[in-house]
Amino acid sequence: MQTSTQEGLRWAVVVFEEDVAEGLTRQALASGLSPQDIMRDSLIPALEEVGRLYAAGEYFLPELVMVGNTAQRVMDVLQPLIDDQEGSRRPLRVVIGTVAGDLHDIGKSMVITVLKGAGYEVIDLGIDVPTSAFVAAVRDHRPRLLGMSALLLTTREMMRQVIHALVEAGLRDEVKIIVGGCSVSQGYADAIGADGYGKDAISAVHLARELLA
Amino acid sequence: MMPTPDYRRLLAAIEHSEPDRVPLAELGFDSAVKEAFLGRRVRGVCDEVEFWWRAGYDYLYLRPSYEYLGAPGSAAVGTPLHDQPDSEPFSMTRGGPVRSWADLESYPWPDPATVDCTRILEAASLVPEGMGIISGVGGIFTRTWMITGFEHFCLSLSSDPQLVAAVFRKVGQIQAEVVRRITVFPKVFAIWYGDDLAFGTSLLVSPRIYRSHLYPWIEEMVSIAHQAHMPFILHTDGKVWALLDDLVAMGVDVLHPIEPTAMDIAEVKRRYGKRLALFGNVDLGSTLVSGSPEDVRQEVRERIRTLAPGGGYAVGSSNTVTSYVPTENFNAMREATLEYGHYPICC
Repeated sequence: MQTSTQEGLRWAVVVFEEDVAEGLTRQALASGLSPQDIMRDSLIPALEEVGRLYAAGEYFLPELVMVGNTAQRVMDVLQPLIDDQEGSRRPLRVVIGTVAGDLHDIGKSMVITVLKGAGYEVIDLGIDVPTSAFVAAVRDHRPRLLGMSALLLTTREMMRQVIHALVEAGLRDEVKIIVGGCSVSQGYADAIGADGYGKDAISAVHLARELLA
Repeated sequence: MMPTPDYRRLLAAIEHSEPDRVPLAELGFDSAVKEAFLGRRVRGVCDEVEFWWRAGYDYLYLRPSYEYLGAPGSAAVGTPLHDQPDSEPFSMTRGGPVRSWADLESYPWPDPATVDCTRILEAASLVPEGMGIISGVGGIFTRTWMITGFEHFCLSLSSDPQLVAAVFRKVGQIQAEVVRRITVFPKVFAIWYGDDLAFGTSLLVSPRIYRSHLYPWIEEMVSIAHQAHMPFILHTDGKVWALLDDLVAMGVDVLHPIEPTAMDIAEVKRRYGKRLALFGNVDLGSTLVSGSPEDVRQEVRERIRTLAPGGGYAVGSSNTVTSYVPTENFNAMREATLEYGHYPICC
């Protein structure tokens, strides 16, 4: 059953009231709720509502950035408690980058914002990321999810190369892979052996939750 | 056969009358495209003029050479700074130099009176008979968020909206004044303003932000252009349906490039008819990059068939001709325009 604190926190995240959100997060913890309760019943539903507002054309990138910051304030309170509960492998680590030869980062930036707000630890490899760097990042950071972005038809083929390189390195089964960007489609994701296709930032978060459930 | 440029061809298309043929129109080309076409390096204005002329364009596009310091990519299309191999790309993750009122005061704002326009003047002395120059400035909205950094811009819309307004105002004043300078140069016959207001599925920010902070400057620049008897061409990527009524009402004469995956150009023509001319739409996302030359020819043919009757259309890519467009496809676009674009349209 939702408490007024949880409902208030959900509202505070949706309308990006950072101070209110942080305060209600502490209040919720003090009332005995776990970090997982708060994420499940307040933070994630809030981000889903933001996704609906974005899809409806009521929220735009600035609102996503502000919501992302608000969600980060919530996670700044919750994350240390989650870290205390878990081992060295963070359950919500994501590595993301734009593939080699591609310099666009708008879509990737949006996905990073929303993933962080949803509680994921995101390591951003940047743009024009060589295949070897993706492989090294998966090996070194042990993420549960790898995200790749490509805007151009000519560069999206690098996604296939990265997946092949991960297979060769014996790392493919260690990580779920989602792909996105204007040049990518569900069909293309299926063809190259990715685990999913995120058509926008909000759907990428949903996809991440499904794949990592 | 030597090309016979005629800037009045493009003006006729913009005014929704039928010239001899459908013109070509492009905001810019990557250096590699120009060099592959000419077979040599493009080193100066003379080479630029020769490229645009030989490629069949009735004009060349040149902007004054200046940028906003600390805002990488603000030199943008039409300036030599854009063509430098180490020029930094646009980035939404980079911070900006103006994050406070103190930064606003101390920032070295470009001086419109002294921005370098020598390339435009040089081009005016070199263009062959009939060829004109289109000039313009880069986006006020884009430079505002680049100067503040995109994330800081977004957060400031809530935490310090007056600062955002002040940066918009400062950039708008500069860009509008540069447009005013441009309109008195010889051979310049149109103003082409570029500002990415959207991406494939949405506006970048709420229409309310554009109406409050950008529209006054678009109105100002349109007025400057029209007082100089020049059309005003607006470039924006993405899905801008929510802004089109406003842009047309403000007097924007041409919309470019109408990304095929974002907007249906035939629907744009249906809704706005003679109130808005259209440039571009040959698909950079697929046909021009990964299609065959015959695919490009057929797409150009289709665009001409559906959009060119009655004027109001010029053939071009759905952004700019980038280095990853095969040379044969660029040539196919130009040649198909010549083959299928003579009026009356009967392809």
